[in-house]
Amino acid sequence: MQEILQCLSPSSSASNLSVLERQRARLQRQQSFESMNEINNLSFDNLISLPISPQNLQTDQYLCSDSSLKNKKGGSLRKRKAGKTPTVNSGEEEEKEKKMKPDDSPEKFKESGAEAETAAPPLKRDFIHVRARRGQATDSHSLAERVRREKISERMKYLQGLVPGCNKITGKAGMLDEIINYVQSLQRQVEFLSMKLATVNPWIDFNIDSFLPKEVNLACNPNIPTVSVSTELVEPNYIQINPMHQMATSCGLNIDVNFSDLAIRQSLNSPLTVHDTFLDPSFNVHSSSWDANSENICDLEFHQLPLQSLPVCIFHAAGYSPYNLKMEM
Amino acid sequence: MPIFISDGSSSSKDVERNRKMNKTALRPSPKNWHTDREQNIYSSKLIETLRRIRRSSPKAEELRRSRAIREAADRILAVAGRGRTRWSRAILFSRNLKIKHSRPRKAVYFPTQLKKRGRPQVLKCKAGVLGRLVPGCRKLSFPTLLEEASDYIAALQMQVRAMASLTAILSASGGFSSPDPDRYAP
Repeated sequence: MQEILQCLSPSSSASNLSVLERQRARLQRQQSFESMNEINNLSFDNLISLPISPQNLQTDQYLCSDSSLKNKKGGSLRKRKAGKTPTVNSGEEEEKEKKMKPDDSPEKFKESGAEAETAAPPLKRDFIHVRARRGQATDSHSLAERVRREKISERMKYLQGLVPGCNKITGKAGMLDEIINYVQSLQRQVEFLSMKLATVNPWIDFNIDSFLPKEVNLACNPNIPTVSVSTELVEPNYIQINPMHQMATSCGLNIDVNFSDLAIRQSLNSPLTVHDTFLDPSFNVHSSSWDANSENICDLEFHQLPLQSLPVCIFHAAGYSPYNLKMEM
Repeated sequence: MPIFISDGSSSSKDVERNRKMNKTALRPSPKNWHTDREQNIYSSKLIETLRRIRRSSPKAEELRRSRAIREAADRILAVAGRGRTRWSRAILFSRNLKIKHSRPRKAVYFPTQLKKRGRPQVLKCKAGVLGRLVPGCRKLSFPTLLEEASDYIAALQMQVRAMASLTAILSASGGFSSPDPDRYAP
C-alpha cells in the first residue's frame, strides 16, 4: 500500500490528491454499505493489475492493507469515512466493526489510519470522531449521548471554577441552584451599584479623565495601595493634561498666584468641582474654610481618607504644579 | 452529525482534538473578561455615558437616573462582548422592545412542586430559570445554555468590579464602602 502511494506521489502529487478528493466526494454522495462492498471487491482486483489509476487510489484510502483485504470477506473490515450519516445501516456496520475487532490486528487500523491521515486530512476534520472505549456500547445513539454528556460535564466544571464556593457541591441540580443564586446576586449588585453611581457627587464630570488610569491600579490591587501610589508618582505628568485642559476650557478660571497651594489643599479635601453651575460657590466655600483651618483640615483629611483615595490626592498634587505656570500666562 | 467509530482500544485523543477544533471560536471569550484591559475599556465607556446622563437630565429623579445608568451599563457590557455571545446580542437588540419584567417567580416554587417530579423535570425547570436570568437564552439546549451562562457570569463579575472601583473613586470624599464582587450572598 505504502509503496503504491510513494510511487504515485512523485508523479503527480497535487493533481492526484484533488482527483482523490473529488472522487471521494462523489463516492460519499452515492454510497451505501453494499455498494461499497462491491467497489472494494472490484478494485481489489484492479489493485493488483493496474497499480496506477485513480480508482485504485480511492480504494486504497478505503481499504486497510493487502493482507487484510485477502483475509476479510465482504469488506467488513472497512473504515467508515466521513460522509456517512448514522442511519440504521451504519449502526449495523458499527457493530460489525466492533465484532471484527478481535479478529484483526490493531496494526491494520493504524496503517489505514495513517494513510487516511496523510492523504485526506481536510475531510476528516469536518466531523466529530468518537472512539468507543473498551467495554462501552458502540451504539450511535449512546455514543452521541456520551459526547453530549461529556460536553455538559466539561462546562459544569468550568462553571464550578467561576462561581465561588462550589467545590463541594456535586450534581447538576445543586450546581444549577448555586449558579442561579450567583447570577441573581450579581445582578442585584449591579443594580445597587448603579443606584449608587446615580447619587454620587456632581463633580464627576471633571475628575473622570484623571481617575481612569488610576482605576486600573485600584482595580487590580485593592489591597496594595502602596503599589498604586508609587506608579502614579512615577508618571504623573502626561495624565494631567486632560483635567487641566478641561479646567481651562470649561470655566476659564483666573488663577491666582496661590493656585498651587489652593489646588493641593482642594485635592486633599475633596475633588475639584469645575462644573459650570457649581464653580463659584464651591470655590468660595473651599477657600474660606481653608484659609481658616487649612492645616488642620489637611491633617484630618489625611487620616480620614481611606488608603484607596490617597493616590488620588498625591496624583493631583503632583500634577498641578507644572501646569500652573501655563495657566497664569 | 456523522460519528466515526474505530476500535475501542485506543484513547480518546480524536475526541479531544475535534472538540478543541470545534470550540476554538467560543472558548477564548470567557477568559478575556478577567483582563485589566477589558475593565479599562469598560470603565472609560461607562464614564462617558455617566457624564452624558448627568448632562442630559440634571433634574431627573434618582430612580429614573439609576435605571438609565443600569441599562447603559448593561449595554456597554454587551458591546464589550463584541457580539459573539447570544446574551450580548439580545441585550443590544431588544432594549427598545423589552418591557421590564419582574424576577422569575418560579424560583419560589422549587421545593414544593418539584420534589414529586422526576429528576429530569427538575433539571429542566432549573435550566429554564437560568435561561430566563441570562438575557436571550430562554430556549437553548443545555450545553449552550451553560456556555452562555459562564460567559455571562464572567462579564457580570467584570462589570461589578469596574462599577465598584468607579464608585469607590468617585465617592472618595463621601462614603468609603465598596461592595466586593466576589462576595457571594445567597
